[in-house]
Amino acid sequence: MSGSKRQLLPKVLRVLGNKKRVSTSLMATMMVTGLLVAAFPAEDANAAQITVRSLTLQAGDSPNFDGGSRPGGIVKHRFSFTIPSTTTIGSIKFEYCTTASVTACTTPVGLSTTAATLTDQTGATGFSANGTTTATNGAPYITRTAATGTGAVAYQLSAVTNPNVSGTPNYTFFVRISTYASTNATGGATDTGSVAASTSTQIQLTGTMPESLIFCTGGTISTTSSIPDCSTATSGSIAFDQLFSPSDTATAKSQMAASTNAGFGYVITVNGPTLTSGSNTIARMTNGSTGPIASTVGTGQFGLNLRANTTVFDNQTTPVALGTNVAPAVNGTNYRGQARTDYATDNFFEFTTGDTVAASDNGGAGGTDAQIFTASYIVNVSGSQPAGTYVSTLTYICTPTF
Amino acid sequence: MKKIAHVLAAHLNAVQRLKKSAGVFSAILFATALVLQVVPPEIASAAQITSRSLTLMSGSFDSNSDGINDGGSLPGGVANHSFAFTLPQTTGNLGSIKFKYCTTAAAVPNGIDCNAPAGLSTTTRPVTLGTSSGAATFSAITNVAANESYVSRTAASFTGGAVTVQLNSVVNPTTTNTTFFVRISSYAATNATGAEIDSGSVAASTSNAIEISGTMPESLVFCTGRTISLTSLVPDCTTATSGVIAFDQLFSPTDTATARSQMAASTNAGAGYAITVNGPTLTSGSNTITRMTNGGTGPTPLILGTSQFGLNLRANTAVFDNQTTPVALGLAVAPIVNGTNYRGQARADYSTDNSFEFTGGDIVAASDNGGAGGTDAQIYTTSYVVNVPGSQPAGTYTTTLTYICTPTF
Repeated sequence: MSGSKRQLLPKVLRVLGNKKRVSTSLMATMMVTGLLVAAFPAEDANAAQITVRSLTLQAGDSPNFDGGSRPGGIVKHRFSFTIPSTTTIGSIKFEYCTTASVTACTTPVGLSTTAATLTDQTGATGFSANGTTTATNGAPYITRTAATGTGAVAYQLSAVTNPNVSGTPNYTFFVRISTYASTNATGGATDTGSVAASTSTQIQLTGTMPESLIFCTGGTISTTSSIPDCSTATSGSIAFDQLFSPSDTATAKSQMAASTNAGFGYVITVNGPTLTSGSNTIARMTNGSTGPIASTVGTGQFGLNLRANTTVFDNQTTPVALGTNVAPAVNGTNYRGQARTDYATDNFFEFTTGDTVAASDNGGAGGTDAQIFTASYIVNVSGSQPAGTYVSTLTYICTPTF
Repeated sequence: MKKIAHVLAAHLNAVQRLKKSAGVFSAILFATALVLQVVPPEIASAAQITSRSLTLMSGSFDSNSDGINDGGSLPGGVANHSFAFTLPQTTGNLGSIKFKYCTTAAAVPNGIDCNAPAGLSTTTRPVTLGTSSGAATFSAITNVAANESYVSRTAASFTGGAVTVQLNSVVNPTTTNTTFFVRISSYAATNATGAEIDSGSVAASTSNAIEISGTMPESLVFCTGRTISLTSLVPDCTTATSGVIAFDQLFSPTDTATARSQMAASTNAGAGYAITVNGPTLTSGSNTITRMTNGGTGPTPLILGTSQFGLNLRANTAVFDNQTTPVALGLAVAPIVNGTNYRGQARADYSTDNSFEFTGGDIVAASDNGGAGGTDAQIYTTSYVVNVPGSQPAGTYTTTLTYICTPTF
């Protein structure tokens, strides 16, 4: 009993004692009863505290799928709480207020429960929502044939419109939960308890993926966490593995990596002259348009391909097969880069300046994640090839089409 | 003094009836002798106790069973009375000190020596001797009457000094806002009899107990935004800015784009709160950026050139982008947890430096440090990262994330 109520009772009795004009004791008794009822609201008299109580804001349904705490969002409110003792429950009211308790309830601005439906219930079940449950905005109740209930329960109200206070997107509101023996949430509340929830500013993250091309060349290119990493590209100055010889094939390798999000993918061309030393050259390998050429020791040949060749082209102490296939391998989706035909035949080579050596067109021209191409170069010379240092500067050009 | 004057006048009349042969000088001598008989020499010699005070102190008794011990000045309350004073005595013994509670500071002229304050009692509980310290200490207390007690010690020579004596469990006067007095007297005897050595009065007053009441309701304060600032070092949700946030740079296969948002939460819920993040991954039309998840086995480190969108709530030590002045990404929750009034902390999948996760519906933080419970306001900084593969289609990628804080009371 509050202090104010304690003080009120003696005052009432004193006032009645002074009312000498009251003619009968019956009238006095009735007056006392009436004042006492006014002084002690029935719903507070014996209501016990609902425990372990919470309100979880949950995302709404189609078509908006509003976030559970979105201001003004049409969402689901799931109430979980524990009824402290076995009592008869015919209805449960959820009264939305701007304060937790004590003061009169003011419905939060923007809150709407008139379209709310009961979409889930556990524990004490058998409740339903009909027209009467949501008739009063801000104080819906669910109802069932009165029956005993206790323990942990949960009820989900859907299509509740969250509070939406202008200028206050982060807004705390409260719901006073009350159980009633009656089926229409009237009479004295059996158990009560308040829960709190808050709307919150939605975090809208925005970023832009621009037109993208990552392309690099070098002696080697490594991967970082299995991803080709252009920052690891080494120098482009490359020497053949041995002196040129009419009886053996000299080889060299370079690498390039490319990725793009261009809708029509990329093409990579090789550009430059054949190997030259002053006025002397080594013939480039070409066969018109009939395909690449096989390596023939003792002839003038300079060519390249982008394959993992199976032939061992030189007579080193520990000879190794030349080249590596593009990696990761194509899959027609996010790895589309592949060598063009003239540069994609094992153990066959070609060099024509301006040729497209690779393109991201596996599965159709399109964007591709980063892949590493390995260009393998070979040189054969005839016995009369003039002595000298032969050099060629090759320029690879990657052109994406967006 | 009126009494003395009255006696003096009577004797002067007698003097006038004497034969006029007696001289005026003889009459004056006679009157002086009578005055000395009326005013006892022991009163004249009692010196004033100085620097004296009575402090009413809360005791250890809860009269009205409200869970709070009676306040020191509570009318009718059981309180401790702490006396502090300085005895000017210079010679002789000191054996006892008497404390007599009265409605007036001294005896009144009409003969009433002392009226006990209504309700005051030293015998109800009864009063005990609390602390005793200073130039003289006392070991026993005797409650002579409901308004009179004395403390005693073995009589010993005393040459003055400051003394404190605390009487415990005194029942205060019951009248509200009423001043009462305590007359303090010192004696050479151990039973507060005989001539007073020194004396003095102190005053105190009962007072209305001020009962202030208020209700702390179920409380949750939660907000999100790009930034949330402090006001007087306390996270202030009114400072939350817009939730529209752009990544710091264009997405790139060779660099990580980052962004940050903040949220603040406090609650008095007994079982604390849990904050979930809800929403889809970054999307542009039909194109998406893959959310970072490792199937519940922990967060995922960043890999350039792959499709990754994730977040965490940590002060990451790695520098994730190649800006001119790169900075480490994110901040740890602040104030830091202490298991008592700061309990909010990131959940495991979102609390590993430099590793990230994003699964819609995941609990990203909860006030469960030191056990689930209420917590004062703390600010979380959410760091978002995006990596893309080379083929990531161009476009503007957006996601709307909804953070939901659910307290359980």
